[in-house]
Amino acid sequence: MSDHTHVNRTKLFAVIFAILLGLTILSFGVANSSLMDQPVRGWTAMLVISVAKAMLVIVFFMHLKWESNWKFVLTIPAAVMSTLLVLVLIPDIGNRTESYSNDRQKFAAYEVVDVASPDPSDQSNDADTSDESSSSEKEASPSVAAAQSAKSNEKITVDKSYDEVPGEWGHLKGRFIASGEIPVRKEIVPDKDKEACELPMYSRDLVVGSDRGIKNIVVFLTKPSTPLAIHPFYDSEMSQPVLLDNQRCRFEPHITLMTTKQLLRAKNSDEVGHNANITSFNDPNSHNVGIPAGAHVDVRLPIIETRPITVTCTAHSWMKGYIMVRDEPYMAVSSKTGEFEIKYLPAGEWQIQFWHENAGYVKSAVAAGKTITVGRKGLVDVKIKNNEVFDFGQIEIPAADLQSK
Amino acid sequence: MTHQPEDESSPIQSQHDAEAGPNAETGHLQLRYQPGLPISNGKLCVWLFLSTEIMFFSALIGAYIVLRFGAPSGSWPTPIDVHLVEWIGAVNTLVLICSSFTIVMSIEAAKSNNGTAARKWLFATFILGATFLGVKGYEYNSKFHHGIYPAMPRSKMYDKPDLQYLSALQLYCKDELKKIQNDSGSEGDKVKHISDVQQNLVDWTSRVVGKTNATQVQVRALDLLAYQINANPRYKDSAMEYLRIEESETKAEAEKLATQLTDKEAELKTIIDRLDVVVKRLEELAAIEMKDEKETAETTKLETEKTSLGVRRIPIENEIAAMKLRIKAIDGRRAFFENHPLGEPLTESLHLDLPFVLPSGNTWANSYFLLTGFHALHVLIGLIGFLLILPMSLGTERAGLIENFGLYWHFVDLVWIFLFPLLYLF
Repeated sequence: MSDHTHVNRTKLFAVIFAILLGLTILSFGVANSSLMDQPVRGWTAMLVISVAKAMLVIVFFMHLKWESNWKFVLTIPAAVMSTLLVLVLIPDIGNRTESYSNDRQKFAAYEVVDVASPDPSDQSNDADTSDESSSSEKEASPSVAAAQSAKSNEKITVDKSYDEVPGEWGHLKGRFIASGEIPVRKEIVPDKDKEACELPMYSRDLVVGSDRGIKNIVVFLTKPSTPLAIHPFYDSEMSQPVLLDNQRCRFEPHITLMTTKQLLRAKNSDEVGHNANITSFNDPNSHNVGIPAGAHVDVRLPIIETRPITVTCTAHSWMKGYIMVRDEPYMAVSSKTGEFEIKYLPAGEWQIQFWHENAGYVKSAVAAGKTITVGRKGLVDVKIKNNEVFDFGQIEIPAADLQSK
Repeated sequence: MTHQPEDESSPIQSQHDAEAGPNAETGHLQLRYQPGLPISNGKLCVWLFLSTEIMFFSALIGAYIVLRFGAPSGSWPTPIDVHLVEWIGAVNTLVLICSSFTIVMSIEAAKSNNGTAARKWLFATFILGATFLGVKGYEYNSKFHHGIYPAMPRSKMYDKPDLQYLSALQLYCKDELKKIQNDSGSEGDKVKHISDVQQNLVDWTSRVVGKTNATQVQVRALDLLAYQINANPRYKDSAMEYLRIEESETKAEAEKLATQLTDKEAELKTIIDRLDVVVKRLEELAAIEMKDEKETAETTKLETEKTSLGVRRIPIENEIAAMKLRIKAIDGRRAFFENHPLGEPLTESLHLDLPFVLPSGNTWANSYFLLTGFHALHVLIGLIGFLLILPMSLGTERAGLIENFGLYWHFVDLVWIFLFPLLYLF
């Protein structure tokens, strides 16, 4: 290598250069050959060619062949470390595609929607009778759907797997029916974005079904002096965000129930932009988020509310929904048949409240079988016994009390 | 620059001597020059620098591999999707390999103390490096032209055909039409083409998607929209299937509408005929100056009938108008697909540069620009280095300097040897 011992290696370098050119063409050829029918083979072949080319450049062009032993000190650790750096990342690839968690699915670049599966939506034409679970149909996110449908009203079914849970737990159920003349729901005529709206559109403040069941009465446990234990039945539900969708210029669901620990996922399935302006009683921070078409925004409502708070859309004056935020998940909204149930309450004597958006706290009600006394703030005393269902039966409320003022 | 081979044994020897303690003859400590590594400081520094550079590019390439192979299967864009031309990449590889060869020849010439030849070879290296950058610039420019940018806000790419994509298309058509209208020398064909796309493709899809709650229908309608715009084969099956269903549905609907329309028009005609009779009779009655009781009663009766006929007429007329609109929309949609058959991308049609849908497209763009950008930066730095040493006299005394730059240049070539197959061929 020194000046006077210099040997002319021009010929050798020319040969190496020719080999490098050949390898480049070979690599290009592999990419267009049948080897790529099984991509792993083609990729491997190309990487092998690349390594070979790299070695030729390093060994000859970078003169490492003629260097003394110091070359190993620098090049081997660097080669080992860089190979490791790439290799340690490889398991991430496997984990990503093998088991796609629900969270990851949401942020994946491309959701694989199974087009072959039958359409799950039941295309109900009566827009107002859609229950909470329908709001999540547009989203290919099964977790949210599951959390919402856990609230669907059916006969109280007790899961045997919860038998082992320590403590005493009971259930609460009932059904609201309207007495007297039922007012006709007003038609709402949207003043803008008509194409994006459901038409015809009716007010949702008092919805009474054909069987006189009253929809959208909120039943919740008065805040106890000490925090209550939460049954494991609620674990999966409480770990999920609560979905509040904007569908056809309506909030879906009309009344959203959530706990202070959950996230509120305000979603917009419409083609027009919406916003969710949440007017809280107790939370000093204002929450008004804009949601572009097709997007969603997560909101945290960490402060307990004494009654449902409103959520409105500034752009669409008729859009109004309610959100109830409590520390514990012991609350329910009556379904279109007027039925409600709260599962797995801790046993004991509790006060519950009935709330309706027109009437505020429901002050007078007659329960079939039992007479219930409703206090000033809609307070009703209930006694929950272990493994028993406290059934109000039918709770009659005069429709006149629930009319909008 | 380097040491004689016989020097290599001397450090050990000298260390051995030093450990042996004071020299027996003089009583002084015998310290001898310790040369460390048998290479020049400059070369050592270049090698240390290169070993850190290896880490730098390994991290980038590793991240790329995870993104590339971790993407949901089948979603990574193919080179055609993102307008990558493989042979241009191959040409650039050849250019860099040639430049590696020329720099080696330059070092050889310098070592033989042939300064003129060394400068020639070095200049050739510089030209080849500049060619590489030029080709890279051309490639970048074509990416930008297709709306592929490394950052989201400017990018015209969407990861999937969803509602956001649809809103972007709606906005695009609106903006484009406004732009043309503001242009004084507006082209009629262009306006027609864009409003055609707006009405029969974008707005139609948005109506379908807005009307249904069925996810499957929405996904397919959007797939059809995406396929019609950029003919990405990924959406072909879904799009074809959906178009087939839609065509049979709209055909049935159009037939139904046609019969309904005839009925409604007949109904409207009877109303109008009756109205004519009533109006004529009312005029006759109005002409009578002194009316008797019978005539007054008839007038009142006819006035009531006229009002009720008028009330009945308006909704029917509205319905007929709505039906005609719908029939027109269906006809327009059908004509659109006849003029632009499936598989002929609209993005290539004149004046139309709609955003397109590419699963993982933005991830691809980010990693492509990051990897090639850092590499191009290294090339640029190498070129500046060559510019600095070109004016020097390149004899034996500069051979070490050229070799140091050469080492760096070879490393830049090495990185490209890996980047080319990873980015263009995988």
